[in-house]
Formats: sequence, C-alpha cells, structure tokens
Amino acid sequence: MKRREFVRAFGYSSMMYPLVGSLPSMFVGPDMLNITILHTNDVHSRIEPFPADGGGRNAGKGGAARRATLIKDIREDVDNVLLLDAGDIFQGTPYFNFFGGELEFKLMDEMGYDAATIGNHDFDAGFEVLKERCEGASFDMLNCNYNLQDSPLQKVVEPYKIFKKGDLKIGVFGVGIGLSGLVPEKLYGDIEVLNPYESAERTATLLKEDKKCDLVICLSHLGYQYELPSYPSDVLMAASTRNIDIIIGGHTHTFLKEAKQFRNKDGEWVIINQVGWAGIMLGRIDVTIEPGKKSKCYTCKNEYLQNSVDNSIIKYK
Amino acid sequence: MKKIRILKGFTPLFLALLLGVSLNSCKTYFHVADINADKYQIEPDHGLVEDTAILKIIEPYKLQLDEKMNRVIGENGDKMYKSRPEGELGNWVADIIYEEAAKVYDGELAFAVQNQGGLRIPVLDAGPITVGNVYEVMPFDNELVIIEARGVVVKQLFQRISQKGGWPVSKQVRLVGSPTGEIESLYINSKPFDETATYAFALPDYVANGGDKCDFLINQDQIKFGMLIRDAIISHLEAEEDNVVQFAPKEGRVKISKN
Repeated sequence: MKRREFVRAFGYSSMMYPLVGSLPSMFVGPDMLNITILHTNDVHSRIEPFPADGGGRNAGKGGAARRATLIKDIREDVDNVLLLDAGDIFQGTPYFNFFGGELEFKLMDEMGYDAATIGNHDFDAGFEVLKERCEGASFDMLNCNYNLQDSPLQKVVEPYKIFKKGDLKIGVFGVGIGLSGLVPEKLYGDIEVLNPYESAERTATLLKEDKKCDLVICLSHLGYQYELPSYPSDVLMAASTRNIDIIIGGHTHTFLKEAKQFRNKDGEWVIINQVGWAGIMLGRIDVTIEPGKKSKCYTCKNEYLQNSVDNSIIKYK
Repeated sequence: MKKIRILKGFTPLFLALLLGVSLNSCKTYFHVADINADKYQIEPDHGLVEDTAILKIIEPYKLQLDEKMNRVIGENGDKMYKSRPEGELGNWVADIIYEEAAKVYDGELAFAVQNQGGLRIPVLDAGPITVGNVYEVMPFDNELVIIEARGVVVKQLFQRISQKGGWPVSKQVRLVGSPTGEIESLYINSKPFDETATYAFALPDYVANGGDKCDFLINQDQIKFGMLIRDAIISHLEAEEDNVVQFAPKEGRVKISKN
C-alpha cells in the first residue's frame, strides 16, 4: 500500500471511533511548528554588490553584507532557520581568482550557513582547494551522487546531514551535475558521477524511512529544466523520485517568479525553488508542521504554495 | 503531504487500532501541513543596511584587490551586450582572441571562437574599463590555444555552435545554422567553407579540452603560448591607441534559423 493510501485508510478507520473523529480542534492552532528555509544558489563570488554604475540591470544589487542583515532580521523573527546554498559558490569576481574562495567560505560561516552542495564551478580552483575550504568551514558540504572513494574530498563531503530543530528532524542532502565535459578533468580528479535520480531517491528514502526525518530537502546543482530530457534536471528529478519534499535548485541561474510544485512518482507534492544567481535574491520557504498524537492530519493542505509567507519584515521584498 | 513517523511495522499498528487498542499514545506524529515560499530582493533601496561584521571580514581582501583591479586600461564608447546568436561583447572578445593569437601564431589563422558560457556579465557599460571589469567579463583562467584541424572537425564545431544558439566568433566568420545543428551556410574570410581544407583557429582551452560537449576536439593537438585569454584582453587594451575599445557591432556573424 502506498503511503498516501495508507494514511487515507487510516484516517477513515478512525471514523469508527466518533470520539477521536470529533476532536480535531485539539490538534490545530497553537501547537503548529514552523521551519524557515533560507536559500541562495550560484552566488559566484559576488562578495560585494554589483557596482552602482556599470553593473547593468543588476547595478547595486546583491552583496554579502546586506544579505547578512536580512538573514539576521529573519532569524529574530522566526524560531527554526535552516540556511542553505545550492552550489557554485565560487567563480565570477576577482575575489575568487586571487583568494581561491577563502573569503566566500568565511562569509558563509559568519552568516551561519548550515549546508551547501557542490556546484561545477566549485571545482574551478581544483579539488584540493575545495577540500581545504571545506575543512575550514563550519557548515557541511553535501553530495550523494559523486563517488568520492578515490578522491581526497571524501573526508570533507557527506551525502546528507540531519538537522534537529526541537523535536523535528530535517534531512538535507546534495545532488551534483555531471562533470565530464563541463569541468576540466584535472580539476575534479577521481570522481565518478552516479545517476542523480537513483542516488537522490536512495538518500531521500534513507532519510525519510530509516532515519525518520520529518522533512527531506534536496540541494541540487542539476539545473531547473532543459529542452532535452536526457539532461538531468530538478523538474525531472521531482517527478521520477520519491521521499523528497523540497528541492532547492541551482546551476541554470533561474529566477523563478514563484516556487513550483510537481507530483513525485507517488503522487505527492515536491516543491522546487531557485533564486537566480549572484546573491541578488534570498529565497525563503516556510514549512508548517502539525504535531499530534494521532496519525490523522487535521490541517494538511491538499496543495501548497497558496499563501505568500506571512512575515513582519516584508518591507524588504 | 501526509506522513507519519513510523512506516515499517505499520501493519500491526493498523490492526491494533482497528481492534480499538491504542498502542501509539506516546508517539508524536509530525505532518507537513503546509509549505509556502517567498523571496527577497537584496537591493540598497529596500532599507537593508550592510552588516558591519561582514564588511570587516571583506575589508582586508578588498584593499588588496582594489589596488590591482581599479586600474583603468580602456575607454568603452558604447554599451556592449552579451547575447545570442551574436552580441557586441562576444564579438569584441572573439576579435581580440583572434588578433592576439595571430600575433604569436606562425601561420594563417582562420578565425577565433569563444564559448558563450565563458563570458560572465550580461553587459559591459560605456565608460572606463578597469582590470576588474575584464576579470568580470572573463573570470575563468582559460588559456588561449590554437588548433589546426581538418574541415570535418571544424564542421562539427560550427554544428555545435549552431545547436547552442550561437557563440562569439571573430569577424572572419559568417555562419547560418539551425537549432538542430545543421549548417545552412558557412563562410570563412568570405570564402565558402571547405571540408577538405585545414583550418587553424584560436579558442579557449576549456573548449579545446572537450568542454561544452565539444568532445570532437579532445584528440586535436593544441598549440599553446602560456597566455590566459583574460590577460590577452588586458594587454590588448593596454596596447590600443589611447586605450579606446574597438566597438564590434552585430553584423550577422552568426544567424540561427527558426526551424
């Protein structure tokens, strides 16, 4: 029996006991838990804002110092924040050419990033430099579809990480793009790239079923969507896997007007979001969780993304 | 998305509940009830002040960089855009690659090509050009290389360029291609392309090493000069008379048909 059907059957079965069925109000309202996911992708060493003159349509936008203020403000406003990045931290300004990503990682540490995944450009200074940066970082570098057994990166990259927020367990894992033909081989070394969908589903299932995570988030550097279905993408990954709740994407520098939702292969919703590049935007996903002593969910929505996030610092948008 | 914590072994639990026996009174279930999303624009006029701790971390790096990067090396007369199938920025870079390669290559150079993805800013504004601007146009440490290849190999390159919707090429090229990768017309230096001829062309080592799905180039010998394309652009600008940029307008170097 698929989980969805099971839950439904379970819900109906409780109707045999009128007492249980008549007390939904006990399970809603003040007890709801919230997780706020803040995310960036493809920041590409954009340490400072685009120049006020000469930055084109992006003039004055972005910059780590303003992003940090925004993140601090949001942290004051909500309880449980996860700050995530979907890769391509490196490459794009002279800060990277001259300092090899040292500053990018220092700033992410200061902002309190929890995890990131590896983008193709994160190999641009070579895997040894990436390893050094990861070693010094206070956040986790995650990837589940790069076979690192012959790579020094094995020591510093984990397939997934489980974050505990109160009683909640949130599983976060990373998926990376094929490297051959995209990154010079000498820069990424001995890494075998495995099928992203299979690796993603295996890891998501491990997190949800074995590790009992309440929410599973995939940090993906596959790219949002391509014309050719042979190119792995977030949209195809969402449809062809199970147990992923949210995909935070990157690589294609896609400015999604709003987050998207797709059915996975079990018919359950998967949310995908991506916020362009260069730290011009900060993405935010708010997850509402209903705790209860019963398996029936009283407030679960049939469809998500129906409301914009209700937050007090809306002035920044 | 309704979910419960215990999946394995749910059947006995299910049966037990059917029998009216509540075995799960201590278990807390967490259901994902709702998900909503939003985004913030990070812009100065949105009232966001810069975090001082972050500025302090950046400062020593910035001081070192500014010294190197703020040096003005050229004057750009008109905005140059990066676009497909052809743009002024790409034309300008491809022409510089050609000219700098032709200076050091001992032979007749047919053309130069630069992959679109190697250019990393959407527009280069009019006004002074600094070393930093050139780094932003071309942040990658791509080396300039020359390949001498048979026409059959060169044809694959132009097929790939067509498939990609156009790449920057130097002014010697006139290509009409289709999105499916067919070459409808190709002239090099005003002469029809000859599959049996050999062509020498300049390009980034990234592409020569098979990058952007150009695997057909992997086995071609590369002639190298130890010159990064970015450094070639910088020295080219410095050598220009009065450092004035030679604006390279769109002139139909690459056209992609609609089919």
